[in-house]
Amino acid sequence: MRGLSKSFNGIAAVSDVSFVLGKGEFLSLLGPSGCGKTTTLRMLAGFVAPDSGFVTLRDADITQRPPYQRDVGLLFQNYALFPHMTVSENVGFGPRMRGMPRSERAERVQWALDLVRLSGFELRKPSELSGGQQQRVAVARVLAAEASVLLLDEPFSNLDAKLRLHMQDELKELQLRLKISTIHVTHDQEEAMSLSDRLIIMNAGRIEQNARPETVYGSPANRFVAEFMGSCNRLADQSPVPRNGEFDLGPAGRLLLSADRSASGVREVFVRPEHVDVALTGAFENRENVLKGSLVRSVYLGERTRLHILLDNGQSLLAQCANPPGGREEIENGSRLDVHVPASALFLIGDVDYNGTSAS
Amino acid sequence: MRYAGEGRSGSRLLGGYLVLFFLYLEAPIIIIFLASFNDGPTVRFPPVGLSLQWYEELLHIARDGSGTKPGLVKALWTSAWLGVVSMVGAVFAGVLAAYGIQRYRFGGRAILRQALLLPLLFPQIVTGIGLLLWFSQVGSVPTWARLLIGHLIITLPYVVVTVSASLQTLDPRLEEAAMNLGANRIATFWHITIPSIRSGIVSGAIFAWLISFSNFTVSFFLYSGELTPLPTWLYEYLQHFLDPSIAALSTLLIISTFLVLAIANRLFALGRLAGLRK
Repeated sequence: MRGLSKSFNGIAAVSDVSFVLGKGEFLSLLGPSGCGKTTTLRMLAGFVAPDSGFVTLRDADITQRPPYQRDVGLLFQNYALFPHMTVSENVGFGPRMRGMPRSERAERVQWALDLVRLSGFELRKPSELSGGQQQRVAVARVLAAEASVLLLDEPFSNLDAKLRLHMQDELKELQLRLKISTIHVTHDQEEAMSLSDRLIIMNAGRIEQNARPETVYGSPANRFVAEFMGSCNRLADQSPVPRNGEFDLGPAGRLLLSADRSASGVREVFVRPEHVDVALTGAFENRENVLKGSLVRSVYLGERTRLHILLDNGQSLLAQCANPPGGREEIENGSRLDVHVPASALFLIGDVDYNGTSAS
Repeated sequence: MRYAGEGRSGSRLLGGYLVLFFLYLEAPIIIIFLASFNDGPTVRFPPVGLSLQWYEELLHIARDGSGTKPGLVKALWTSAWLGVVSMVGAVFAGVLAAYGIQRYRFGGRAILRQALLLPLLFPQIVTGIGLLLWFSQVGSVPTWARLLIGHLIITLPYVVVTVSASLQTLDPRLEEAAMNLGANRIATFWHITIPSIRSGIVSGAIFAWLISFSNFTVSFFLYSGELTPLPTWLYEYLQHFLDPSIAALSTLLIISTFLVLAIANRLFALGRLAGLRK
């Protein structure tokens, strides 16, 4: 798709969004609610007509085709199973509408139900199934229709946490096995990262970054991505950048960038909570990039502990430490701490540059 | 349901109220029912004596098509087909109208909706007089067409209301899902929309039939001697005779209406609205 735009009542919901989906690729559109990801998906499915731009599928322009002539399958958030039909009628609906003869259709339904391990449920009504089973029927239904692109509209958000992980695994496995090109819309970063070959981060109708999950998390293109993906501490925001690559954080200490990274244009410096080391004052003697502060409170989260730290220059900083077996020694609130911020863990983000960073 | 600490006196009071309420509501039916078993020549309540003679008389009236009390069977027949044709027409037009209003946004939509429902709010006598004046302007419209047009006007709103209510509970994503699976608009409407709003359509149809079958006011302005719906026939009959055979006929009509409703309820599960099925 290229340069896709749509506005509602004069408010741009999606502006100039372009990307390419590779064959067999799993792509996630990720962003906060209202960022335009769902509108984009609905334009791909043909439920919303774009104001401008094109949608092409294997070199054919399908922008003006109605939803039923698109060869694009959509898995709905609420599954949208037909309540008056049985499981096999639901699954067989796509083939039936495409004029597949009855005997072939039965095979197709069986094939799809086998894929989602729901054989034996053919004659049940959707209301007689659990949430996970309903989702499996929805998956079987969309697969039986043999679309060449699969669209997923937050399909896991109605499931409880355990089942969600399970269904994600199952769907991902099916996607790999059948090599279906897939576009997945979600606001759940963990879900997006675990499933996708590539992420597109959207905000306010635009693409902020289009890259592999590792790249998006490890080197965010801009401040929005940095703060949206996981949590991030913004340590400095100085313009122009100090010549020697050294940021002065006042009473908390200094931050030194390695020489080759103090490139021009760097403005903001971020670090992720899990990339800092924290210890009681004095433990990091003779190291560079050690900031001073005190503990505000610590939050125990099972496999890790989150520390809320107030640096001596008044900035807040989040740190996360993995909990060792047997638990960690408790640090009292108010204790003086040293925070080691390795230069290699710093993200450097240049002047706001929203468009140049994302190649389509 | 009683919460902890609440006494029984409250629920007794409620029970008593309910009994009185339903007695009041059904009193006319009960009176007619009992009066039909009168032994005397006049409609009395409480009935004098007990006999089935007025049901017998009713049979005589029905058999004797051209006697002193003519036309019962023909009137019954007229009302029946008028009801059925009005019902079919109102369902056809009403479903399409409700769907258009519910699913599409267009200029004048709100006005159209109000216009469709207006006959519900208008006194039927106004509708009747208006139609009468109009038909006399137009000239030679046959009686059957006059009656049918009049009945379509008063039955259509019921279908629009019940079908709109069903459509509101229908998730538009079901229709999107069908289209996504390759069904065009007509196939989607036929395979997904219609079955999903079935209960609204059926209850609208039953309403339409009952409203048409029992309508007096509008028919009164439009009927003629050779084509008389049952309620107007009853009215004419009452002007000449006042015997309990009318009560007997009413009782039979009430019972048959009950039967129709009970069968429809069995067949279509009217109590359960589309989408709320468990």
